[in-house]
Amino acid sequence: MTTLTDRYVASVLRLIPEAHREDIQAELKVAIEDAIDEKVAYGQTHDAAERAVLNGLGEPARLAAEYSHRPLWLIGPDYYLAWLRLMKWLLWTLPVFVGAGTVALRLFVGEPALDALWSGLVVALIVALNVAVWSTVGFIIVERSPDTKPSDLGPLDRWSVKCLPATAIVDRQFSLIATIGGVILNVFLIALLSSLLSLEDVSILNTSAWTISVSVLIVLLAASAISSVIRYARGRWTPTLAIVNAILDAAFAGWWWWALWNLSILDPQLIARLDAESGLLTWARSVVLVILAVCAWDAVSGFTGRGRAVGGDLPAVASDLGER
Amino acid sequence: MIDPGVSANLRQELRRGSLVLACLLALQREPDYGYALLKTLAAAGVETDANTLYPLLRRLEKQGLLESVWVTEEPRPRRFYRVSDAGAEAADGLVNDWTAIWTALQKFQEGSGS
Repeated sequence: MTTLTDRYVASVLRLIPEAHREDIQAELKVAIEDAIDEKVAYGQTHDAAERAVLNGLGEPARLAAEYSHRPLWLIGPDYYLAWLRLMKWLLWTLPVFVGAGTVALRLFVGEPALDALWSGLVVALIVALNVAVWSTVGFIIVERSPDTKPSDLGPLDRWSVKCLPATAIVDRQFSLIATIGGVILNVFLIALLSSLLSLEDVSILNTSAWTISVSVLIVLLAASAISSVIRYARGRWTPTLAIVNAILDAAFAGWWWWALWNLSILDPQLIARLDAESGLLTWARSVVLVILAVCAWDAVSGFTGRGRAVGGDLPAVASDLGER
Repeated sequence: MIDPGVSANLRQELRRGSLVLACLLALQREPDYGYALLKTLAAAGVETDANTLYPLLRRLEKQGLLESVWVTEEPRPRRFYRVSDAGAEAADGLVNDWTAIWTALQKFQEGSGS
C-alpha cells in the first residue's frame, strides 16, 4: 500500500537530480519515520502524526529546491538590475530601429504612408515582445547556471558614477508615456495630412488655400512633436521652453481661427449655399472658441502652476541630497 | 512597542546566520543523524525546521565541512554526520568572528550608558 510518506518522498525525489535520489530517499524517509514515531509515543494516532509531520515539512517542491540549491525565483536580486538594464536598453533601441526601418522600406517601395506606419508599428511590437521574452529566458538560464557569477555579465553588471543621469531632477514634469503618445499621435496626423495633400480633387474644400494651409499645419505638428521631445529630455519647464510652447499654441490657435471662424478651409461656393439656413457657422465658431481656450490654458501652464520647477534651478529634494 | 512581525523577522535573520555554526559545533561535540541533531539543537534553544536543517546538512557535506557515514546497526539505517578537518577549521574561524562581533556589541552597550 502506498502511504502518504511514500507519496511525499516520491514528490520530492521527482524534482531532484537522479544521482542524489537514492541517498536523499533513504535519509528523508527515516527522518520522517523518526518524527512520526516520536509523535505516536506522545499519544497521537499514526495517521494524525504522519499528516502533522508531512505538513510541517511543507511543499515538496520547496524542499527539493533546497536540496538541489535551485532558486525559487525566476530572476533573483543578483541579476535583476542587470536584466532590467538590458531590457530597457534593448526595448528602447531594437523595436524603434526595426520599426523605423520597416516604415522607410515600405515607403520606399511605394506603399501609402498610413499602411507603412501601421506595419512599422506591428513589426516594432513583435520585435519588442521577442526581445522581452528571449532576454528574460536568457537570464532565467543564467540564474540557474551554478558556475556563472553576476560579474560574468561584464558591463551589464557594472555600475559606477558614470552611469548617473546628467540631471538631478527627482520628479519629471513630463511623463514618458505622454511624450511618446503625443509624438506618435503627431506623426500619425502628419502622415494622414500628407496623404490628404496628394488628393487631386476635394470638392468640399477650398482648393486654392488647401495645399499651403495643410503644409503649415504639418510644420506646426512636427514642431510640436520635436518640442515635446526636447521638453522631456530637459525634464522640466524652462523659460525658453515655455515661450516656444506659447508660440506654438498661438500658431495652432491662429490656424484653427483661420480655418474655421469664417470656414475658409471649405469651398467658398459650398459655404454660400449652406450659410443661409444651417447653423454650421455657429458650430464652427464654438469649436474655435474651445480650441482658443485650450491653447491659452496650455500656453499659460508652461509659465505657472505645476509647470514651474520647484525652487529655482533644482527641485528642493535634489539639492538636499547634494548637500549630504 | 515593537511590532511582533518585525521582532520575529529580526530574530529569524539572526538565527539564520548562526545556524551553520550551531550545527558545526554540535556535530563536533558528537556526530549525529539529522533528526537527532534537530532535537539536540531544539533542546539547546536553537529552533530550526526540518526542511531547513536536512538540506543544510547535505550542503555542508558537499562543501566539505561535514562527512557522513551510513550506520546500519540500528533497525533503521541512519546517515551520521561528523565535522571534517575543514569543517573544524571553519568552525574555529566563525567562533572567532562571533566573539569579535559580541565584543564589539558589548562595547557599544557600555558606551550607551545603560
